[in-house]
Amino acid sequence: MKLRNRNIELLLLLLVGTIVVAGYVLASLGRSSSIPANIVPFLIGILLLLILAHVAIRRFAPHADFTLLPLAGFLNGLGYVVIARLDNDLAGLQATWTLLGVGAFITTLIILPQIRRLEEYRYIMMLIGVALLVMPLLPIIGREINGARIWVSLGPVNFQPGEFAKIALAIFFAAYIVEKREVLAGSTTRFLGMPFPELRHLGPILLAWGVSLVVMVAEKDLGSSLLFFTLFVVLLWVSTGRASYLGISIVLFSGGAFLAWSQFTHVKERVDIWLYPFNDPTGDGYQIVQSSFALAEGGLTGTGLGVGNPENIPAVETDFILAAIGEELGLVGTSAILIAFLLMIGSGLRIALASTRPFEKLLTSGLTALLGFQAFIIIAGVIRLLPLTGVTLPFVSYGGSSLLANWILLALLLRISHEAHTEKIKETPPQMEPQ
Amino acid sequence: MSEQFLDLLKILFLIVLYFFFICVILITLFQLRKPKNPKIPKNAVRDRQHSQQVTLLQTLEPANLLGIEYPIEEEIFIGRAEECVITISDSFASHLHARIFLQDDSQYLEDLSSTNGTFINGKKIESPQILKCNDRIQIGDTVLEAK
Repeated sequence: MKLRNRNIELLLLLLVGTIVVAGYVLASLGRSSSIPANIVPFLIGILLLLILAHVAIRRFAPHADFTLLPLAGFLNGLGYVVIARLDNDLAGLQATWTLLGVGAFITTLIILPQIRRLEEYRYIMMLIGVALLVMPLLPIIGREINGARIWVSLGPVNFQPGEFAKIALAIFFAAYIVEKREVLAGSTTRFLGMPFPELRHLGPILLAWGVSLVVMVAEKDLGSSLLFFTLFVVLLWVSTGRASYLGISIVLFSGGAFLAWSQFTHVKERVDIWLYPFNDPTGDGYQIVQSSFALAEGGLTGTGLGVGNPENIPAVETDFILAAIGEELGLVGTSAILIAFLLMIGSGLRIALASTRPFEKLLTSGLTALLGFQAFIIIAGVIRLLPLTGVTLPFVSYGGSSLLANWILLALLLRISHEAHTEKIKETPPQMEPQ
Repeated sequence: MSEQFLDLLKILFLIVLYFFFICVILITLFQLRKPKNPKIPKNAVRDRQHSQQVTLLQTLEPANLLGIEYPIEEEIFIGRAEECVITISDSFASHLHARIFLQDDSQYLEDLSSTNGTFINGKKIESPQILKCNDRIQIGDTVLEAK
């Protein structure tokens, strides 16, 4: 039975490979009416990567969920096709990052045979998370690119430590909440008429969260601060089952957002661009206006890969990659991206439901929330549902740190999924035997 | 390359894209349904399990609470906190001491990292354990029997 499941995953991966290669050929046909010269090495490369990841799962996590890898491969592959169509140099780099990402995925599966080990390292995870967040603020190695000081350059390599910090902090938050669950849920202190945990128990978590928030405000990285806030709230809500936390956090968030809007000019600018992009269509509003044009041009099924002009949008390979997909594959194409994320979130939540230990449940909820909300924040920004806050679209956007971090996140989800199903298989046989 | 031909290829590409999603969804549905299948041929076992499913907990100790019964719901908490379904005023019990939850037709007893541990039939539990009839749950000086 289990072998058949994994074979289904292999079939799905082959289908993903076909889609990616077909997209690559279509983009080339659309651009230059010719089949790309490197199609054979490209095909072999894609299949090798997917099969490598598949074999690693078979070997190191054979009972894991089998829809997550194909979905991630699909998003990564489609993203690559669009990046390759936009910029040849970036495509080469993105191929390298994808290779490293899959490498990190496999390495994580190998070096982490049991997820509960992470639970023991919770305070180290907190230190790593906070250290990673502070790194871009340090002199010499910290870099400011496009108005956000979220980069670190070590020699020739530039990377965004924040992408990795979110995983480390998710692990810390989950482990800490599980450790203190009793005092967090069985509290008697009341705040605004609602039961609220005593501050001393929440201390370390508030501290980590506060530091990350302050740091991100200093780094002008609004998207990530929103993401961390969401992670924190989701974990508190899931662990205690109290909807009042959601209410409190919405109030806190509204207050914080208003404060940020009235105090920081760069936040105010973002909101103005969001509400009135056409006030300055060639200046501040240029990016979002071009993105709206691209989405409108795409219509229902798009202009076709390689036929549109998405390169007019600034940062189209990273934050605005959805607009490029919208122009060339239309509403149907952008919906496909949404569906892929929804299916991944669904798989993540199923893993959380299937696991029996609280740490695994919480960590899975947290990681799934990170993936889902990051996608939501940037998609909402691109389609002007929310003010734009620059984060990458997981797996799809160009970016080494983001790809690496998300592949590691995926490996953690699959590891938890494997453990949950292994436990179930172990428990089932004795129930079956009639006495 | 004519425009119509490219359009046709584009539509075909999108169809394959959605075919992939349909496959994923079908597989997910199949996977969700599957756990029930292996049990169907073993009706006898299933019925026996059902008849033995734990429906309530009865207090055995301390003696002054002897015989008090608590019905088991989908998820209940045992502990000193007032919010718990089964509140026990035992100084060796933690505020949220243990949890009983239903998963795949079985009731599990889980210790919530309590200070003094939870015992089934005298054995300390490390991970969630399936609760069967006549099992004795001990928390501090309190003993509950599963019925």
